[in-house]
Amino acid sequence: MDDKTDNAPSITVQAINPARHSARRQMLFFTVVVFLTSVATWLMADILWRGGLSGMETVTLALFVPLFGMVAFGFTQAVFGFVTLLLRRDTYEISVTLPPGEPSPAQLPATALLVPIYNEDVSRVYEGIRSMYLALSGSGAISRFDFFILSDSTDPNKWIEEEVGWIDLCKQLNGFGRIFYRKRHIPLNRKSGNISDFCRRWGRRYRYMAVLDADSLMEPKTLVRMVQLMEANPQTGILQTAPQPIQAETPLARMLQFAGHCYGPVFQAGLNYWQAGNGNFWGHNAIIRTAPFIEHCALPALPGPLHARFMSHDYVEAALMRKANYQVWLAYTLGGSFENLPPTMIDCAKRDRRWCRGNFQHSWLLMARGLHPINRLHLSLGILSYLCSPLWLIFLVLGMVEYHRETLQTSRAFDADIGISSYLDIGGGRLALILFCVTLAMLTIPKFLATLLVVIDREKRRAFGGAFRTLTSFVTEHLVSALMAPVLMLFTSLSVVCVLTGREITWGAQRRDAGGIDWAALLRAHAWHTAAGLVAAELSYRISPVFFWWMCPVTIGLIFSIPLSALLAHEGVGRVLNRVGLFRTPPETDVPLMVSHMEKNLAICRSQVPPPEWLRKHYGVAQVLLDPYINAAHVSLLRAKRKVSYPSAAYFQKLSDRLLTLGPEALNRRELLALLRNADSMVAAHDRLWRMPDRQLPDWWKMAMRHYNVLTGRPMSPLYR
Amino acid sequence: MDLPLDSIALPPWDPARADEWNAAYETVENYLRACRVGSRLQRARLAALILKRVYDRTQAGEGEGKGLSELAIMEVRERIADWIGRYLPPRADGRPRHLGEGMLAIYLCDGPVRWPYAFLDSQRMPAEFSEALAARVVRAGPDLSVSSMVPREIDLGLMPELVGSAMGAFESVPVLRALLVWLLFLGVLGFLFWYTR
Repeated sequence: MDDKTDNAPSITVQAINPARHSARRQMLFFTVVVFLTSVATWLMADILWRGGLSGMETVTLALFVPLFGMVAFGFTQAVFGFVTLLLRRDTYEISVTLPPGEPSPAQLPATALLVPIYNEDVSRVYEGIRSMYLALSGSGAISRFDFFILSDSTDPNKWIEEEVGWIDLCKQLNGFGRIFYRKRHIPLNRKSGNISDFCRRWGRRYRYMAVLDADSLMEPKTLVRMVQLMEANPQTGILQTAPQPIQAETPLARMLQFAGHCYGPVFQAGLNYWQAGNGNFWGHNAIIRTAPFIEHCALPALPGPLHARFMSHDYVEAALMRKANYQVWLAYTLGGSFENLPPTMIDCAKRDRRWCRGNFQHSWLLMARGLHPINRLHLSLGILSYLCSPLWLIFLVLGMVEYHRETLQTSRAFDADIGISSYLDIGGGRLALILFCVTLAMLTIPKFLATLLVVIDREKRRAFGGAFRTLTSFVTEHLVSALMAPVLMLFTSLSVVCVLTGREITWGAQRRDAGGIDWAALLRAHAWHTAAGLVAAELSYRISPVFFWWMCPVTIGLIFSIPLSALLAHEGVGRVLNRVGLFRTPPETDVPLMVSHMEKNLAICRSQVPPPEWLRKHYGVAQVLLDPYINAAHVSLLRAKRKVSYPSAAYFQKLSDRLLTLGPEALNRRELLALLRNADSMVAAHDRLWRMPDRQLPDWWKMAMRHYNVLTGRPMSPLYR
Repeated sequence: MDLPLDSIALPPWDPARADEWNAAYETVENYLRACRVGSRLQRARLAALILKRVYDRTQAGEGEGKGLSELAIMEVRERIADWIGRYLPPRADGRPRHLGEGMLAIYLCDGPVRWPYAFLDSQRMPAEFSEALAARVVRAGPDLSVSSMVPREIDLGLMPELVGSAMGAFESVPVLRALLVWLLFLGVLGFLFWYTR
């Protein structure tokens, strides 16, 4: 690998200097946002201010400003993006700096592809790596890229599965020396700690590192282009691609996948319009200039008594990179960058809960000295995106209370001839209806504009399954998202409350049935949504039948949250949607070669009969003790230790005794991990297990031996070939 | 390692320990299967050879107090270690390879799968198998190129520091937390009072 050290010449082309014009763009963009928000706030104030503004009305108005502000922000971004894409000209898109012609691999500097993993589906991760490796080999660029699987897994079985899979993968691809595996025994500081660990060990060997997620896929052309772009723009510290969702199976995932492909480009173009070189890092599918990252992006502990670490490290790293005068760009036109989506609403909620906690931590940085204002805005928008849910909830509750007060009064102040409505001669009620419709339009128009861009382009239209299917998908997606919105609002509100009160929410593992639905989890997660919906419907009806209809967009989604969530998680329904072409996306019409390879290989992996449930739970432990090769491989990957002290040796001996005489169930996860980390214990336990007379073996080990290599044709591995 | 596989002979029939010999055979066969010796014939040949060696040893008074299965596993592992010692080149510093390294080399070159009849045979060792064994090394990572990546303190400004110390106070003095909850509760009561007037 020494031939790969960072000595490649830099490519020099005209780099983008964003400082000159981006300020003008930002001024224009935010002027529109402020204008729209101000006008809407004025109208709202006009509606509420009928003979004075009560305390509750003041709060309602104050809540309206950020809520509408976010709507206006999204709308403006989409409109600017639409215009940019329609004109097909964005001089501030970093891809315009790509040097002409295909680069020869020798020109590319050394780049590390980092795949941090944490208790992931090993087959999926490794088949993704296989596809990328083979594609890079095919393109002739493999000599300039090294893969690093950086494991922080805390599940003993996953750990062994990863090791076995890595060796199998390297054997199959002849990838030793190109695909590396590193397991941290103490997963300090989560993913950012994992990346930092790589940087400390091997960072100096690579000019760039591309950070991938466990479910990421990137085409070789994209990877090469990213390196080229970094070379062409030496002031760029991070280059983020726009990952496109793939492999969606459930209706929800298919819907989100359609939204990502159809609406995504418009929003990304709009985002790039105003942020230019002050972009953000989304944590994966991005390339990073290693040296400044090492120099400036090590994350300190958070203030406070617990000295917690940043959970959402990406935004902070982008802010620190900008602080160090390196640009951060969104290469939204590159393509060839893929990721997977959560399949169910509950999975979405789980992911959001993590992100919510991480984003709220960013509040510490809002006033940090030296950060670029746009980075402060990114951090604020991240917080606000989660805060909007409880704000909307409070807004709805206050709205109900306010309406109730109105109905109790004998004279309807709402219809008083006052303010702007008196000039328009429409009354406060109708003005409220107009504002409501405008808001709905501002939520719909961005999606409509994005769909329009697809429909007017023959190539895109074909890729999305034709104009009719695209429009039907747009309408269906819009209606279903409207139904989902209040449910997600309650989920996020709960997450926010838990984050603010420092409480954990546990969801438990899902047990899916044949259609991929876990009914018990659905009931646990959505029963309170249904109850909240029923209460809100009842109250609104009691207040006034008219108000009941106003509240229907919110209450219907809540009341039917259980069937809605079940329907959206049903894999069979997803397959039907796929067959009829609803929510079709370009990668489904023209499947990228790399994706089809991966899917084919994964189908082979998953067609194998898995071990029985009781063995599956501890399959890795069984493998490492029963299989002489896997035992040897595992021990060879453990760090050689100095002589273990007597108390430690006695502790390991005790654990080993329990494992062999009582079975793996007798040890908890921490004990199993401790034992697996000790090379001497592993060698001795393997030897002892095979030597133990049958009568001394517990039933678990007897059955495991029989199943491991007698009943099954060959030991199970995450990679069958 | 003195016997080629061609000259195997089964241990003589011993009715008194028939079950024990049977269990020993099963253990050896299972172990060989775990070593990916896929051929039943080859497994049977190797198992018979190993049991014969165990028999000879017990006749010579070795392995007192040990069961036949245990002796058989010891024998098979010894045989593997001898075989590795013979065919796997020593380390660069001249030290012999240990069993684990040898097993890993065999696994990496898929020895028992690609050369099923050569594995553990003292005489038939194809040159490709020897070369494949010698060539296999595992590198979990490239040579280290250590960097110092030290977190720099971020100047968070005055407000977060104040909030941080307030949070610290709340964490360390539970009465403050309780006081806050009581105030919130009183606030809600006050609001309800005001609203219902």
